Amino acid sequence: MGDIITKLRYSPGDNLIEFKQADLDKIAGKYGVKISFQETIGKNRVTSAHTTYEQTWDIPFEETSQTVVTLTSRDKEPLRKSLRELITRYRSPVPIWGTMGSSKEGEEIALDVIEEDDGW
Amino acid sequence: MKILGVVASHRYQGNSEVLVKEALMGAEEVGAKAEILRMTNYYLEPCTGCGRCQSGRIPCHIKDDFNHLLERWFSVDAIILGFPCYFLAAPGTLKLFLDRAVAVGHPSPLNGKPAAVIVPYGNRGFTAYAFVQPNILLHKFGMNIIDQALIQSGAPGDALINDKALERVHNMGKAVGMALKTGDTTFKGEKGLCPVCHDRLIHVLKDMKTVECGTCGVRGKLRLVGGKIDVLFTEEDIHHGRNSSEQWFRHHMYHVEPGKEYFRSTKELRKERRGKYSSYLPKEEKGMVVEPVTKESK
Repeated sequence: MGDIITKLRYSPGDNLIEFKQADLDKIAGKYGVKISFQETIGKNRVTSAHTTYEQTWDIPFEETSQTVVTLTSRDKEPLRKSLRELITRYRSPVPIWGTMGSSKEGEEIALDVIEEDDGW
Repeated sequence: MKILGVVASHRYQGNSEVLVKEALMGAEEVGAKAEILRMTNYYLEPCTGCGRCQSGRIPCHIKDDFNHLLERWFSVDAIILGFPCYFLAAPGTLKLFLDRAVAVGHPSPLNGKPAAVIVPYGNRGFTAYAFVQPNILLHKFGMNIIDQALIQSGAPGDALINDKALERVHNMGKAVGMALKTGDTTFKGEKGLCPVCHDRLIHVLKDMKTVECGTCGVRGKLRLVGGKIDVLFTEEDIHHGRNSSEQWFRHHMYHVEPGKEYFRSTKELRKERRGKYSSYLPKEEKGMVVEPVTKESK
């Protein structure tokens, strides 16, 4: 059996606290999974004195600002446990595409765990 | 120093209108200039969720009175909003307007300005969600709600014979007028639980440990203080709530509008599966002309 992959896509402001690799490594080490993250700053993002605006309509999805957390595991249960801890700490992604790019099994497990805590 | 009394009720000279007008009279006593807007005199289509407004960068393209109504709202310094409570909540007129308010960016011209809400209702105990829609709408515009009142008015025009209620909203109007003068737009109404909207609608999450304001999404910890229910909300919790102009703007920008890309990415799969449903009970498929059922609707 291959790796189970879950991707959690956080829009700016969705995660309760900032992602740091050292913190993710602690969760990963506890459950024997791999966790990494990648931050994208959208090229249309404009910050003014009053607000930050980014045109996201009609823009290729991968080009909009987001942080993608990737979890890789050989087994379901460690993935489930690490997801539970990660979501408790950072919250879950909000929109329906928040798990896009996951493997089928990885997405199903993520959606189960997300719903345990009422979706967000 | 203009205050707009907004009435979202179909009934002319009904309780909502009387109470809003009384509040405006109070505001005028302290120097404000009052105007009134009857929302039901205008034609509003439902939001179609098309997303073309791009979080308020472009006016709504639907050809009705929405953009005109927005201009009226945005031309003043304060709002006093009144509507009747129907089925525990605000009537559809207000919800229609709120849904279309997705076409308002941040900061809106009303950002930081004071507002107040008056809700006449018929029966005690049937008002639990009365402030939800106005709380979302006014916070979406970045307004500071300084007071909100539920006024029992069982029959049309009941407010006219309720001196206590008239005095209550008169003072509310004065308070809005004073807020304009002094710049103090802090909440002056009855203390609720939520630190943002001051309502008491507490939603218990599935973990059965965490609670949140169902409207504002501010999470906290339930506790008993002196035998009474209380919720501990930290500044950090408040910061992560959704019910502010900036947070609603962010929500539309990142959770709603990229939906077009998601829609594209799943288009083929949906196309494959659609046939089963379009051939089943096709009577009201898009594009079919449905004859009006009643004489009135013709």
